[in-house]
This record gives sequence, C-alpha cells and structure tokens, in this order.
Amino acid sequence: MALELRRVKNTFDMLFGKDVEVTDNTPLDITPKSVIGTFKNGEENICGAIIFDNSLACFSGAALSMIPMGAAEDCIATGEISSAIMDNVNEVFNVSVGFFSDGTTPDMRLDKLHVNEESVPENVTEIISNGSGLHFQANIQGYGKGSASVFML
Amino acid sequence: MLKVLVVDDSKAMRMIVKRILRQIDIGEHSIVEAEDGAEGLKQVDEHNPDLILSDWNMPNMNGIEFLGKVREENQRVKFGFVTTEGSEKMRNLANDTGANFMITKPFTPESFEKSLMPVLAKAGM
Repeated sequence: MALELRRVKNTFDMLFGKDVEVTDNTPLDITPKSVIGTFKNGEENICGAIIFDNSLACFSGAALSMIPMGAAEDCIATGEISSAIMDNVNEVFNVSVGFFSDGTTPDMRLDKLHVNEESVPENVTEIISNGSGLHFQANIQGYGKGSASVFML
Repeated sequence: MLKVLVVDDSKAMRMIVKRILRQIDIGEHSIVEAEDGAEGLKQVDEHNPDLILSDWNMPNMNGIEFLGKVREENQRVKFGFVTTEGSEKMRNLANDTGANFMITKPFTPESFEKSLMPVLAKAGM
C-alpha cells in the first residue's frame, strides 16, 4: 500500500491546524466502540476502509472545531459519542479520503460511517481481519492519542 | 477588499481553507462558501468574487465542470483548485480549462501561500 505515515501526519496537521504525532502501531480489532468508515469509488464499489478506536474518534472530533477536551473525555468515559463530536468525526473521515489518493482514484469518497460493528459489510470485515494495511497511533496536541488502521481493498 | 469564494463539499475543508487564508495574511478579505459547483455558480453571480478556491471531486457539479461554466462568463476571476487530485493529467486538464493554480492536499500554510500569493501579486490583488 502506497500510504505512508508522513501522508497521515500531513493530513492531520492540516486538518487540526496543530502538530499531530503519528507513529507505527499494531492492527486494530473492531470493537463495539470502534468507528469504521467505508469508502467507495466511482463505480460504487467499496474500495477502502478506516477504523478509529473510540479515543481517536473522540479526540479528533473534538479537536476539529476546538470542542473542549472535557467533552471528548466524557465521550471516552461513557463510550457514547455526542452528536456534535460525531458530526466532526464524519468530517474527519471525509477529509481522510486523501489517505488513499495517489491521483488514480479521483472519484473515491466516504460512503458511510459505521458505529455498529454489525453494519460493516462482510468484505470489509474480511480485509480488516487479515490485518494488511497501515496501522498508526496519532497524538493530537492539546487533546490526546488514539489508534487507527487504514485498509485499501 | 478581496472577495473569496470557497467551494468544497466538506465543511471541514472549507473551515481549513478559511483558517489558512487568515494565517497567510492575504490582507482584508471577505469569504463566501458553497458546497458544490452548482451552488458555487450562484455565488459567483451574486458576489462576483476576485478569487475562487475550489475542490475537484464534489457532488452535483464537480470542480472542472464548475470551472468551465465560470470561464464561459468570467475570465477575470482567479481560480485555484484545492484538491487531492494532483496527477499530471488532471493538472493539464485544469490548465486547459482555465485554472490559474492548483494546491494539492494535504497542504501547509507555507505551500498554500507559495501557490496563491504569486497569482494574487501578478493580478495586483
């Protein structure tokens, strides 16, 4: 897969307007608190997926529009992501389509977010369980860290 | 005052572009926004912007269609793509259709400034 940590860092730095430390990590498992984004190409086929753990979803959603850190911590503690933070998480995944782009997938776009693991399409769970892809931890300055895995199908 | 139109279906990207414009200090400016090319055309008619910063991949009317429509009526406005699609083929298509510059995501304030400022300076903006 052509995606490198540097591209993830550059995208997150741009997105949050602050320094984001991005480091290698082990593959994520889907849990009931994971947020999974699936991406489609111009032919309406699913061609990519990104998993955020609950911490990265809450911290990134809060950081995007500078929602106070306490609100993100509340979401992490309860496991319930507030609607304001969830709206922002959707935007974070929308912009993260750039992880996949190398100029050959111009029509790729976010299809939908899955916060219920049972709604994740079967072909996506198969690819995710194989563990191939890019796996990283991101530490958003002023908020905190969480983990993600990116899969090109 | 410089009138800027930012066109992107992502609210976050519009917010980022507005933040970058503040950071690189393009001087006094006003900003209007649109979610796609179709809405962008309406904003061009209504606000007659000096500068358009547009995404490429958008629903309803994509960026290159939007640029083509703008250029049918308006050769004056400076038009730049802010997009992940930075291939040679797409750059050529953008140039041929009348784009003035292209900024590839992900960008930094420095790279954004380096692409935008010479265009504004050349136009005396």
